[in-house]
Amino acid sequence: MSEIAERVKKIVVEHLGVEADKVTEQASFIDDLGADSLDIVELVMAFEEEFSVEIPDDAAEKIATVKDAIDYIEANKG
Amino acid sequence: MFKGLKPILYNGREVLPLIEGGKGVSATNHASSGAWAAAGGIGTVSAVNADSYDPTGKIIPQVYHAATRRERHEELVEYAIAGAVDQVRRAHEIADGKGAININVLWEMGGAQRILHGTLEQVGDLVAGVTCGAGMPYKLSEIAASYGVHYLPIISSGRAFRALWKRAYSKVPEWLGAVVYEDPWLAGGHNGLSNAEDPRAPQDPYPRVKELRDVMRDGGIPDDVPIVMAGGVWYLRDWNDWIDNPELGSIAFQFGTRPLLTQESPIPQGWKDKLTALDEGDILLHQFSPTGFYSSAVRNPFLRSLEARSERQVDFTKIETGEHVRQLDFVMKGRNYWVSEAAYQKARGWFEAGYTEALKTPDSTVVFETPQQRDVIRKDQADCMGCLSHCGFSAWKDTETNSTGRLADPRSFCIQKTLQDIAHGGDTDENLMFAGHSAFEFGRDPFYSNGFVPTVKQLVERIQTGD
Repeated sequence: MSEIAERVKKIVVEHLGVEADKVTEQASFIDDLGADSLDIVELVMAFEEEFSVEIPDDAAEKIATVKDAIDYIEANKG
Repeated sequence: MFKGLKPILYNGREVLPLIEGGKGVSATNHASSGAWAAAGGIGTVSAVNADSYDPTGKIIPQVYHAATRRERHEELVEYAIAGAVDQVRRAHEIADGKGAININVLWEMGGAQRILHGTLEQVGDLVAGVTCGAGMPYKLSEIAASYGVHYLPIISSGRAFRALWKRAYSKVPEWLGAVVYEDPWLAGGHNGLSNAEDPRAPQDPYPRVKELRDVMRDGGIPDDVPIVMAGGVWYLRDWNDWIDNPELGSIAFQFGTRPLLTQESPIPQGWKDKLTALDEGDILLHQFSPTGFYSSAVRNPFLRSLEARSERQVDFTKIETGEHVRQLDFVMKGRNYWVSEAAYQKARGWFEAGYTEALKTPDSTVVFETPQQRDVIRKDQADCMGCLSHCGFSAWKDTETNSTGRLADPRSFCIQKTLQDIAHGGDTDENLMFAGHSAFEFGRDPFYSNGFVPTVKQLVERIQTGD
Protein backbone atom coordinates (compact mmCIF):
# COMPACT_ATOMS: atom_id res chain seq x y z
CA MET A 1 0.00 0.00 0.00
CA SER A 2 1.28 3.46 -0.90
CA GLU A 3 2.23 5.94 1.76
CA ILE A 4 -0.59 8.21 0.62
CA ALA A 5 -3.11 5.39 0.96
CA GLU A 6 -1.89 4.71 4.50
CA ARG A 7 -2.27 8.36 5.48
CA VAL A 8 -5.71 8.63 3.86
CA LYS A 9 -6.92 5.58 5.77
CA LYS A 10 -5.53 6.91 9.01
CA ILE A 11 -7.47 10.16 8.56
CA VAL A 12 -10.64 8.24 7.75
CA VAL A 13 -10.29 6.02 10.82
CA GLU A 14 -9.64 8.97 13.11
CA HIS A 15 -12.35 11.11 11.63
CA LEU A 16 -15.18 8.64 11.33
CA GLY A 17 -14.24 6.59 14.37
CA VAL A 18 -14.48 3.32 12.43
CA GLU A 19 -12.41 0.15 12.74
CA ALA A 20 -9.28 0.24 10.58
CA ASP A 21 -10.11 -3.06 8.88
CA LYS A 22 -13.38 -1.62 7.56
CA VAL A 23 -11.52 1.09 5.69
CA THR A 24 -10.83 -0.87 2.53
CA GLU A 25 -10.14 0.95 -0.71
CA GLN A 26 -13.55 -0.05 -2.04
CA ALA A 27 -15.41 1.19 1.04
CA SER A 28 -17.97 3.90 0.35
CA PHE A 29 -17.83 6.68 2.93
CA ILE A 30 -21.62 6.94 3.13
CA ASP A 31 -22.86 3.40 2.48
CA ASP A 32 -20.13 1.41 4.24
CA LEU A 33 -18.51 3.74 6.76
CA GLY A 34 -21.59 5.58 8.01
CA ALA A 35 -20.46 9.05 7.00
CA ASP A 36 -22.94 11.87 6.47
CA SER A 37 -22.58 14.94 4.27
CA LEU A 38 -20.93 16.91 7.06
CA ASP A 39 -18.37 14.14 7.62
CA ILE A 40 -17.55 14.17 3.90
CA VAL A 41 -16.87 17.91 3.84
CA GLU A 42 -14.70 17.63 6.93
CA LEU A 43 -12.81 14.70 5.44
CA VAL A 44 -12.16 16.62 2.23
CA MET A 45 -10.82 19.53 4.28
CA ALA A 46 -8.65 17.17 6.32
CA PHE A 47 -7.20 15.69 3.12
CA GLU A 48 -6.48 19.17 1.79
CA GLU A 49 -4.62 20.06 4.94
CA GLU A 50 -2.71 16.81 5.28
CA PHE A 51 -1.55 16.69 1.66
CA SER A 52 -1.40 20.42 0.84
CA VAL A 53 -3.64 19.76 -2.12
CA GLU A 54 -6.71 21.66 -3.24
CA ILE A 55 -9.84 19.59 -3.81
CA PRO A 56 -12.34 21.80 -5.65
CA ASP A 57 -16.07 21.31 -5.09
CA ASP A 58 -16.64 19.45 -8.35
CA ALA A 59 -13.88 16.99 -7.54
CA ALA A 60 -15.01 16.65 -3.93
CA GLU A 61 -18.48 15.63 -5.07
CA LYS A 62 -17.00 12.70 -6.98
CA ILE A 63 -15.12 11.33 -4.00
CA ALA A 64 -17.38 8.53 -2.82
CA THR A 65 -14.95 5.80 -1.82
CA VAL A 66 -11.60 5.60 -0.05
CA LYS A 67 -10.02 4.74 -3.40
CA ASP A 68 -11.52 7.85 -5.02
CA ALA A 69 -9.80 9.95 -2.38
CA ILE A 70 -6.45 8.18 -2.73
CA ASP A 71 -6.57 8.42 -6.55
CA TYR A 72 -7.38 12.10 -6.50
CA ILE A 73 -4.62 12.93 -4.05
CA GLU A 74 -2.04 10.83 -5.89
CA ALA A 75 -2.92 12.51 -9.18
CA ASN A 76 -2.98 16.06 -7.86
CA LYS A 77 -0.40 16.24 -5.12
CA GLY A 78 2.35 18.66 -6.08
CA MET B 1 -42.06 39.95 31.89
CA PHE B 2 -41.43 39.55 28.18
CA LYS B 3 -38.66 41.87 27.00
CA GLY B 4 -40.16 42.51 23.59
CA LEU B 5 -38.38 42.46 20.26
CA LYS B 6 -36.22 45.01 18.53
CA PRO B 7 -35.98 45.17 14.76
CA ILE B 8 -32.95 43.84 12.94
CA LEU B 9 -31.31 45.29 9.87
CA TYR B 10 -31.80 42.93 6.94
CA ASN B 11 -31.36 43.63 3.26
CA GLY B 12 -30.84 47.31 3.99
CA ARG B 13 -33.96 47.89 6.07
CA GLU B 14 -35.35 47.30 9.53
CA VAL B 15 -37.54 44.21 9.82
CA LEU B 16 -38.95 42.27 12.73
CA PRO B 17 -36.63 39.47 13.85
CA LEU B 18 -39.38 36.99 13.01
CA ILE B 19 -39.05 34.59 10.13
CA GLU B 20 -41.64 32.33 8.64
CA GLY B 21 -39.90 29.00 8.11
CA GLY B 22 -40.02 27.93 4.47
CA LYS B 23 -41.87 24.66 4.12
CA GLY B 24 -42.15 22.55 1.00
CA VAL B 25 -44.01 21.24 -0.79
CA SER B 26 -46.42 24.19 -0.93
CA ALA B 27 -46.86 24.52 2.84
CA THR B 28 -45.61 28.09 2.55
CA ASN B 29 -46.31 30.02 -0.60
CA HIS B 30 -46.94 33.55 -1.83
CA ALA B 31 -50.03 34.00 0.32
CA SER B 32 -48.36 33.11 3.61
CA SER B 33 -44.96 34.63 2.93
CA GLY B 34 -46.34 37.80 1.36
CA ALA B 35 -48.58 38.33 4.38
CA TRP B 36 -45.70 37.62 6.77
CA ALA B 37 -43.56 40.25 5.04
CA ALA B 38 -46.48 42.68 4.98
CA ALA B 39 -46.69 42.23 8.75
CA GLY B 40 -43.06 43.37 9.00
CA GLY B 41 -41.17 40.08 9.21
CA ILE B 42 -39.28 37.89 6.77
CA GLY B 43 -41.65 35.66 4.80
CA THR B 44 -40.33 32.60 3.05
CA VAL B 45 -41.56 31.18 -0.23
CA SER B 46 -40.77 27.51 -0.44
CA ALA B 47 -39.05 27.11 -3.80
CA VAL B 48 -39.26 23.32 -3.47
CA ASN B 49 -41.46 22.16 -6.35
CA ALA B 50 -43.79 25.11 -5.84
CA ASP B 51 -47.08 25.60 -7.63
CA SER B 52 -47.33 27.65 -10.77
CA TYR B 53 -50.53 28.94 -12.31
CA ASP B 54 -52.22 29.00 -15.70
CA PRO B 55 -53.47 32.30 -17.17
CA THR B 56 -56.80 31.89 -15.37
CA GLY B 57 -55.03 31.58 -12.03
CA LYS B 58 -55.54 27.83 -11.57
CA ILE B 59 -52.74 25.69 -10.18
CA ILE B 60 -51.01 23.75 -12.95
CA PRO B 61 -50.92 20.09 -11.85
CA GLN B 62 -47.38 18.74 -11.88
CA VAL B 63 -47.96 15.79 -14.20
CA TYR B 64 -45.02 14.04 -15.79
CA HIS B 65 -45.26 12.93 -19.40
CA ALA B 66 -41.76 11.81 -20.35
CA ALA B 67 -40.78 8.16 -20.64
CA THR B 68 -37.50 8.18 -18.72
CA ARG B 69 -36.52 9.34 -15.24
CA ARG B 70 -33.91 11.65 -16.69
CA GLU B 71 -36.47 13.35 -18.93
CA ARG B 72 -39.02 13.56 -16.12
CA HIS B 73 -36.31 15.15 -13.98
CA GLU B 74 -36.01 17.84 -16.65
CA GLU B 75 -39.77 18.39 -16.47
CA LEU B 76 -39.48 18.66 -12.70
CA VAL B 77 -36.80 21.34 -12.92
CA GLU B 78 -38.97 23.34 -15.33
CA TYR B 79 -42.01 23.05 -13.06
CA ALA B 80 -39.89 24.05 -10.07
CA ILE B 81 -38.46 27.18 -11.65
CA ALA B 82 -41.83 28.28 -13.02
CA GLY B 83 -43.41 27.68 -9.61
CA ALA B 84 -40.78 29.53 -7.62
CA VAL B 85 -40.89 32.50 -9.98
CA ASP B 86 -44.70 32.69 -9.82
CA GLN B 87 -44.69 32.44 -6.05
CA VAL B 88 -42.05 35.11 -5.57
CA ARG B 89 -43.81 37.56 -7.88
CA ARG B 90 -47.12 37.11 -6.09
CA ALA B 91 -45.51 37.28 -2.64
CA HIS B 92 -43.71 40.46 -3.55
CA GLU B 93 -46.98 42.05 -4.60
CA ILE B 94 -48.71 41.10 -1.34
CA ALA B 95 -45.75 42.30 0.77
CA ASP B 96 -46.20 45.72 -0.80
CA GLY B 97 -42.72 46.89 0.02
CA LYS B 98 -42.77 45.83 3.68
CA GLY B 99 -40.61 43.28 5.47
CA ALA B 100 -38.65 40.94 3.22
CA ILE B 101 -39.21 37.87 1.06
CA ASN B 102 -36.78 34.96 1.17
CA ILE B 103 -36.93 31.72 -0.74
CA ASN B 104 -36.07 28.35 0.71
CA VAL B 105 -34.46 25.49 -1.19
CA LEU B 106 -33.18 22.10 -0.12
CA TRP B 107 -29.63 21.54 -1.15
CA GLU B 108 -30.31 17.87 -1.83
CA MET B 109 -33.42 18.42 -3.92
CA GLY B 110 -33.08 17.34 -7.53
CA GLY B 111 -31.62 20.07 -9.72
CA ALA B 112 -31.18 22.39 -6.69
CA GLN B 113 -28.50 24.55 -8.26
CA ARG B 114 -30.28 24.85 -11.61
CA ILE B 115 -33.54 25.74 -9.86
CA LEU B 116 -31.78 28.34 -7.76
CA HIS B 117 -30.11 29.89 -10.80
CA GLY B 118 -33.29 29.70 -12.88
CA THR B 119 -35.34 31.38 -10.16
CA LEU B 120 -32.86 34.09 -9.22
CA GLU B 121 -32.19 34.93 -12.87
CA GLN B 122 -35.84 35.88 -13.22
CA VAL B 123 -36.81 37.25 -9.81
CA GLY B 124 -33.53 37.78 -7.95
CA ASP B 125 -34.35 41.48 -7.62
CA LEU B 126 -37.52 40.63 -5.65
CA VAL B 127 -35.81 38.22 -3.27
CA ALA B 128 -33.88 39.37 -0.20
CA GLY B 129 -32.24 36.07 0.60
CA VAL B 130 -32.08 32.32 0.22
CA THR B 131 -32.37 29.96 3.15
CA CYS B 132 -30.98 26.54 2.45
CA GLY B 133 -30.40 23.38 4.39
CA ALA B 134 -30.71 19.62 3.92
CA GLY B 135 -27.15 18.68 3.11
CA MET B 136 -24.02 20.81 3.04
CA PRO B 137 -24.85 23.78 0.81
CA TYR B 138 -21.35 25.11 0.38
CA LYS B 139 -22.02 26.56 -3.10
CA LEU B 140 -24.98 28.51 -1.76
CA SER B 141 -22.91 31.57 -0.92
CA GLU B 142 -21.36 31.89 -4.35
CA ILE B 143 -24.69 31.45 -6.17
CA ALA B 144 -26.58 33.89 -3.94
CA ALA B 145 -23.82 36.50 -4.13
CA SER B 146 -23.75 36.30 -7.92
CA TYR B 147 -27.35 37.58 -7.93
CA GLY B 148 -26.80 40.09 -5.14
CA VAL B 149 -29.02 38.29 -2.64
CA HIS B 150 -28.22 37.16 0.87
CA TYR B 151 -27.64 33.59 1.88
CA LEU B 152 -28.88 32.12 5.15
CA PRO B 153 -27.56 28.61 5.69
CA ILE B 154 -29.69 26.34 7.87
CA ILE B 155 -27.41 24.29 10.07
CA SER B 156 -27.82 22.23 13.20
CA SER B 157 -24.42 22.64 14.83
CA GLY B 158 -21.47 24.97 15.08
CA ARG B 159 -19.46 22.14 13.61
CA ALA B 160 -21.45 22.27 10.34
CA PHE B 161 -21.11 26.04 10.10
CA ARG B 162 -17.37 25.84 10.74
CA ALA B 163 -16.94 23.48 7.77
CA LEU B 164 -19.12 25.62 5.49
CA TRP B 165 -17.41 28.83 6.53
CA LYS B 166 -13.90 27.49 6.05
CA ARG B 167 -14.70 25.80 2.79
CA ALA B 168 -16.81 28.43 1.10
CA TYR B 169 -18.67 31.13 2.97
CA SER B 170 -15.63 33.04 4.18
CA LYS B 171 -15.05 34.03 0.54
CA VAL B 172 -18.32 36.01 0.43
CA PRO B 173 -18.90 37.21 4.00
CA GLU B 174 -20.75 40.35 2.90
CA TRP B 175 -23.79 38.38 1.68
CA LEU B 176 -24.21 36.25 4.79
CA GLY B 177 -27.66 37.42 5.92
CA ALA B 178 -27.99 35.28 9.02
CA VAL B 179 -27.30 31.75 10.17
CA VAL B 180 -30.33 29.63 10.95
CA TYR B 181 -29.79 27.20 13.81
CA GLU B 182 -32.34 24.45 13.39
CA ASP B 183 -32.85 22.35 16.50
CA PRO B 184 -32.64 18.86 15.03
CA TRP B 185 -34.65 17.27 17.82
CA LEU B 186 -37.58 19.69 17.66
CA ALA B 187 -37.83 21.10 14.15
CA GLY B 188 -40.36 19.78 11.66
CA GLY B 189 -39.44 18.25 8.33
CA HIS B 190 -35.83 17.39 7.55
CA ASN B 191 -33.75 18.67 10.38
CA GLY B 192 -30.01 18.17 10.08
CA LEU B 193 -29.45 15.58 12.80
CA SER B 194 -25.97 14.30 12.07
CA ASN B 195 -24.64 10.79 12.54
CA ALA B 196 -22.69 12.06 15.52
CA GLU B 197 -25.88 12.87 17.42
CA ASP B 198 -28.33 10.59 19.16
CA PRO B 199 -31.92 11.03 17.96
CA ARG B 200 -33.11 9.90 21.39
CA ALA B 201 -30.97 12.31 23.37
CA PRO B 202 -32.09 15.87 22.66
CA GLN B 203 -29.61 18.59 23.55
CA ASP B 204 -30.36 21.99 25.00
CA PRO B 205 -30.22 24.52 22.16
CA TYR B 206 -28.62 27.28 24.26
CA PRO B 207 -25.08 25.86 24.50
CA ARG B 208 -25.26 24.73 20.89
CA VAL B 209 -26.23 28.22 19.72
CA LYS B 210 -23.56 29.73 21.98
CA GLU B 211 -21.04 27.40 20.34
CA LEU B 212 -22.30 28.47 16.91
CA ARG B 213 -21.81 32.14 17.87
CA ASP B 214 -18.29 31.34 19.03
CA VAL B 215 -17.54 29.66 15.70
CA MET B 216 -18.93 32.72 13.90
CA ARG B 217 -16.79 35.03 16.02
CA ASP B 218 -13.73 32.93 15.24
CA GLY B 219 -14.52 33.52 11.59
CA GLY B 220 -14.63 37.28 12.17
CA ILE B 221 -18.41 37.53 11.69
CA PRO B 222 -19.82 40.47 13.65
CA ASP B 223 -22.40 39.88 16.37
CA ASP B 224 -25.03 41.87 14.49
CA VAL B 225 -25.31 39.05 11.93
CA PRO B 226 -28.27 37.28 13.50
CA ILE B 227 -28.53 33.68 14.50
CA VAL B 228 -32.06 32.57 13.74
CA MET B 229 -33.36 30.11 16.31
CA ALA B 230 -35.59 27.56 14.58
CA GLY B 231 -37.30 24.45 15.89
CA GLY B 232 -39.37 24.27 19.05
CA VAL B 233 -40.12 28.00 19.11
CA TRP B 234 -43.70 28.71 20.16
CA TYR B 235 -44.05 31.33 22.92
CA LEU B 236 -41.30 33.93 22.75
CA ARG B 237 -41.68 34.52 26.50
CA ASP B 238 -39.89 31.17 26.86
CA TRP B 239 -36.91 32.70 25.04
CA ASN B 240 -36.64 35.87 27.12
CA ASP B 241 -33.10 35.03 28.20
CA TRP B 242 -31.99 34.75 24.60
CA ILE B 243 -33.07 38.27 23.68
CA ASP B 244 -30.49 41.07 24.15
CA ASN B 245 -28.05 38.51 25.47
CA PRO B 246 -24.46 39.58 24.66
CA GLU B 247 -23.29 35.97 24.88
CA LEU B 248 -25.44 35.05 21.87
CA GLY B 249 -25.30 38.27 19.86
CA SER B 250 -28.21 39.22 17.62
CA ILE B 251 -31.01 36.63 17.74
CA ALA B 252 -34.04 36.20 15.52
CA PHE B 253 -36.71 33.53 15.67
CA GLN B 254 -38.11 31.29 13.00
CA PHE B 255 -41.57 29.79 13.17
CA GLY B 256 -42.26 26.76 11.07
CA THR B 257 -45.26 25.07 12.62
CA ARG B 258 -47.28 28.01 13.96
CA PRO B 259 -47.80 29.64 10.55
CA LEU B 260 -49.40 26.42 9.28
CA LEU B 261 -52.61 27.50 10.98
CA THR B 262 -53.45 30.91 9.62
CA GLN B 263 -56.06 32.23 7.22
CA GLU B 264 -53.41 32.63 4.54
CA SER B 265 -51.68 29.29 5.09
CA PRO B 266 -52.01 27.38 1.83
CA ILE B 267 -52.41 23.92 3.37
CA PRO B 268 -55.86 22.34 2.92
CA GLN B 269 -58.53 22.62 5.60
CA GLY B 270 -58.33 18.90 6.42
CA TRP B 271 -54.68 19.29 7.35
CA LYS B 272 -55.40 22.38 9.46
CA ASP B 273 -58.14 20.48 11.29
CA LYS B 274 -55.67 17.72 12.22
CA LEU B 275 -53.26 20.21 13.77
CA THR B 276 -55.56 21.27 16.57
CA ALA B 277 -56.24 17.65 17.54
CA LEU B 278 -52.63 16.60 18.12
CA ASP B 279 -51.33 15.39 21.48
CA GLU B 280 -47.85 15.76 22.90
CA GLY B 281 -45.75 12.92 21.51
CA ASP B 282 -47.71 12.65 18.26
CA ILE B 283 -44.70 13.90 16.29
CA LEU B 284 -42.09 11.33 15.39
CA LEU B 285 -38.41 11.92 14.62
CA HIS B 286 -37.63 9.18 12.12
CA GLN B 287 -35.38 8.11 9.27
CA PHE B 288 -37.80 6.83 6.64
CA SER B 289 -37.20 9.79 4.32
CA PRO B 290 -35.73 8.71 0.97
CA THR B 291 -33.09 11.42 1.45
CA GLY B 292 -31.59 9.31 4.23
CA PHE B 293 -31.84 12.34 6.54
CA TYR B 294 -33.76 12.40 9.78
CA SER B 295 -37.04 14.27 9.71
CA SER B 296 -40.04 14.86 11.94
CA ALA B 297 -43.68 14.39 11.04
CA VAL B 298 -47.04 13.55 12.57
CA ARG B 299 -47.17 9.90 13.53
CA ASN B 300 -50.29 9.31 11.44
CA PRO B 301 -51.38 6.06 9.76
CA PHE B 302 -48.99 6.75 6.88
CA LEU B 303 -45.97 6.91 9.18
CA ARG B 304 -47.24 4.03 11.29
CA SER B 305 -47.52 1.86 8.20
CA LEU B 306 -43.87 2.58 7.42
CA GLU B 307 -42.91 1.70 10.98
CA ALA B 308 -44.91 -1.53 10.70
CA ARG B 309 -43.34 -2.39 7.35
CA SER B 310 -39.87 -2.04 8.81
CA GLU B 311 -40.95 -4.22 11.75
CA ARG B 312 -41.88 -6.95 9.27
CA GLN B 313 -38.25 -7.35 8.32
CA VAL B 314 -35.74 -10.18 8.54
CA ASP B 315 -32.03 -10.51 7.77
CA PHE B 316 -31.03 -13.08 5.18
CA THR B 317 -27.92 -14.57 3.66
CA LYS B 318 -27.62 -16.23 0.26
CA ILE B 319 -25.90 -19.23 1.82
CA GLU B 320 -26.59 -21.32 4.89
CA THR B 321 -24.42 -19.89 7.64
CA GLY B 322 -24.45 -19.45 11.43
CA GLU B 323 -28.02 -19.12 12.69
CA HIS B 324 -29.33 -18.88 9.15
CA VAL B 325 -30.52 -22.46 8.81
CA ARG B 326 -33.98 -22.09 7.25
CA GLN B 327 -34.93 -21.00 3.76
CA LEU B 328 -37.83 -18.66 3.06
CA ASP B 329 -39.14 -21.40 0.78
CA PHE B 330 -42.80 -20.50 1.22
CA VAL B 331 -42.31 -17.07 -0.31
CA MET B 332 -38.98 -17.08 -2.20
CA LYS B 333 -39.36 -20.40 -3.96
CA GLY B 334 -36.34 -21.82 -5.73
CA ARG B 335 -34.04 -19.09 -4.43
CA ASN B 336 -31.58 -19.15 -1.61
CA TYR B 337 -32.77 -16.85 1.16
CA TRP B 338 -31.46 -18.26 4.43
CA VAL B 339 -32.79 -16.89 7.70
CA SER B 340 -32.76 -17.86 11.36
CA GLU B 341 -35.40 -20.18 12.80
CA ALA B 342 -36.96 -17.27 14.73
CA ALA B 343 -37.05 -15.08 11.61
CA TYR B 344 -38.59 -17.95 9.67
CA GLN B 345 -41.41 -18.29 12.16
CA LYS B 346 -42.09 -14.55 12.19
CA ALA B 347 -42.06 -14.39 8.39
CA ARG B 348 -44.42 -17.33 8.21
CA GLY B 349 -46.84 -15.49 10.49
CA TRP B 350 -46.74 -12.33 8.37
CA PHE B 351 -47.26 -14.40 5.24
CA GLU B 352 -50.30 -16.06 6.72
CA ALA B 353 -51.66 -12.67 7.77
CA GLY B 354 -51.67 -11.53 4.14
CA TYR B 355 -48.20 -9.99 3.85
CA THR B 356 -47.33 -12.42 1.12
CA GLU B 357 -44.75 -10.38 -0.78
CA ALA B 358 -41.12 -10.39 0.30
CA LEU B 359 -39.29 -7.28 -0.92
CA LYS B 360 -35.52 -7.05 -0.83
CA THR B 361 -33.86 -4.02 0.72
CA PRO B 362 -30.32 -2.73 0.07
CA ASP B 363 -29.25 -4.03 3.49
CA SER B 364 -29.56 -7.80 2.96
CA THR B 365 -32.99 -7.91 4.53
CA VAL B 366 -36.48 -8.52 3.20
CA VAL B 367 -39.66 -6.81 4.30
CA PHE B 368 -43.11 -8.31 4.00
CA GLU B 369 -45.98 -6.46 2.38
CA THR B 370 -49.41 -7.11 0.92
CA PRO B 371 -49.65 -7.51 -2.86
CA GLN B 372 -51.53 -4.18 -3.04
CA GLN B 373 -48.82 -2.28 -1.19
CA ARG B 374 -46.13 -4.04 -3.20
CA ASP B 375 -47.81 -2.75 -6.36
CA VAL B 376 -47.93 0.80 -4.98
CA ILE B 377 -44.24 0.67 -4.07
CA ARG B 378 -43.23 -0.66 -7.47
CA LYS B 379 -45.37 1.86 -9.32
CA ASP B 380 -44.02 4.77 -7.29
CA GLN B 381 -40.47 3.62 -7.90
CA ALA B 382 -41.17 3.29 -11.64
CA ASP B 383 -42.81 6.74 -11.76
CA CYS B 384 -39.76 8.44 -10.17
CA MET B 385 -39.10 11.93 -11.55
CA GLY B 386 -35.76 12.47 -9.86
CA CYS B 387 -36.88 15.03 -7.29
CA LEU B 388 -33.85 14.47 -5.05
CA SER B 389 -30.14 14.46 -5.73
CA HIS B 390 -30.04 10.96 -4.23
CA CYS B 391 -33.14 8.92 -3.47
CA GLY B 392 -32.98 5.78 -1.36
CA PHE B 393 -36.52 4.77 -2.31
CA SER B 394 -36.12 4.75 -6.08
CA ALA B 395 -32.31 4.48 -6.24
CA TRP B 396 -32.28 7.59 -8.46
CA LYS B 397 -29.15 9.71 -8.36
CA ASP B 398 -28.57 12.94 -10.22
CA THR B 399 -25.41 11.78 -12.00
CA GLU B 400 -24.56 10.39 -15.45
CA THR B 401 -25.76 6.92 -14.48
CA ASN B 402 -28.91 8.17 -12.70
CA SER B 403 -28.50 5.38 -10.18
CA THR B 404 -27.24 5.13 -6.63
CA GLY B 405 -25.87 1.69 -7.44
CA ARG B 406 -27.93 0.22 -4.59
CA LEU B 407 -31.24 -1.57 -4.56
CA ALA B 408 -34.33 0.61 -4.40
CA ASP B 409 -35.46 0.57 -0.77
CA PRO B 410 -39.10 -0.48 -0.12
CA ARG B 411 -38.86 0.71 3.50
CA SER B 412 -38.99 4.31 2.30
CA PHE B 413 -41.52 6.15 0.11
CA CYS B 414 -41.92 8.60 -2.76
CA ILE B 415 -41.64 11.93 -1.02
CA GLN B 416 -42.63 14.01 -4.03
CA LYS B 417 -45.86 12.10 -4.52
CA THR B 418 -46.93 12.26 -0.90
CA LEU B 419 -46.01 15.89 -0.24
CA GLN B 420 -47.71 17.07 -3.43
CA ASP B 421 -50.75 15.02 -2.54
CA ILE B 422 -51.20 16.26 1.02
CA ALA B 423 -50.59 19.87 -0.05
CA HIS B 424 -53.33 19.63 -2.66
CA GLY B 425 -56.10 18.02 -0.65
CA GLY B 426 -54.99 14.37 -0.45
CA ASP B 427 -55.87 12.16 2.51
CA THR B 428 -54.11 13.38 5.66
CA ASP B 429 -54.01 9.84 7.04
CA GLU B 430 -52.40 8.38 3.95
CA ASN B 431 -49.68 10.95 3.39
CA LEU B 432 -46.62 12.31 5.12
CA MET B 433 -47.59 15.21 7.34
CA PHE B 434 -44.44 17.09 8.34
CA ALA B 435 -44.70 19.01 11.62
CA GLY B 436 -42.47 20.30 14.38
CA HIS B 437 -42.55 18.76 17.85
CA SER B 438 -44.49 21.66 19.33
CA ALA B 439 -47.45 21.15 16.99
CA PHE B 440 -49.52 19.79 19.89
CA GLU B 441 -49.53 23.35 21.28
CA PHE B 442 -52.25 24.20 18.76
CA GLY B 443 -54.62 22.25 20.98
CA ARG B 444 -53.46 23.96 24.21
CA ASP B 445 -52.62 27.53 23.27
CA PRO B 446 -55.64 29.69 24.22
CA PHE B 447 -54.98 31.82 21.12
CA TYR B 448 -56.64 29.09 19.07
CA SER B 449 -59.57 28.42 21.40
CA ASN B 450 -63.07 28.18 19.98
CA GLY B 451 -61.64 27.29 16.60
CA PHE B 452 -59.96 30.67 16.10
CA VAL B 453 -57.70 30.77 13.05
CA PRO B 454 -55.68 33.99 12.96
CA THR B 455 -54.59 35.96 9.94
CA VAL B 456 -50.83 36.10 9.51
CA LYS B 457 -50.92 39.71 10.76
CA GLN B 458 -52.73 38.63 13.93
CA LEU B 459 -50.25 35.81 14.46
CA VAL B 460 -47.24 38.08 14.05
CA GLU B 461 -48.77 40.58 16.46
CA ARG B 462 -49.50 37.82 18.95
CA ILE B 463 -45.97 36.46 18.75
CA GLN B 464 -44.60 39.91 19.54
CA THR B 465 -46.45 39.92 22.86
CA GLY B 466 -44.45 36.87 23.95
CA ASP B 467 -47.53 34.62 23.84
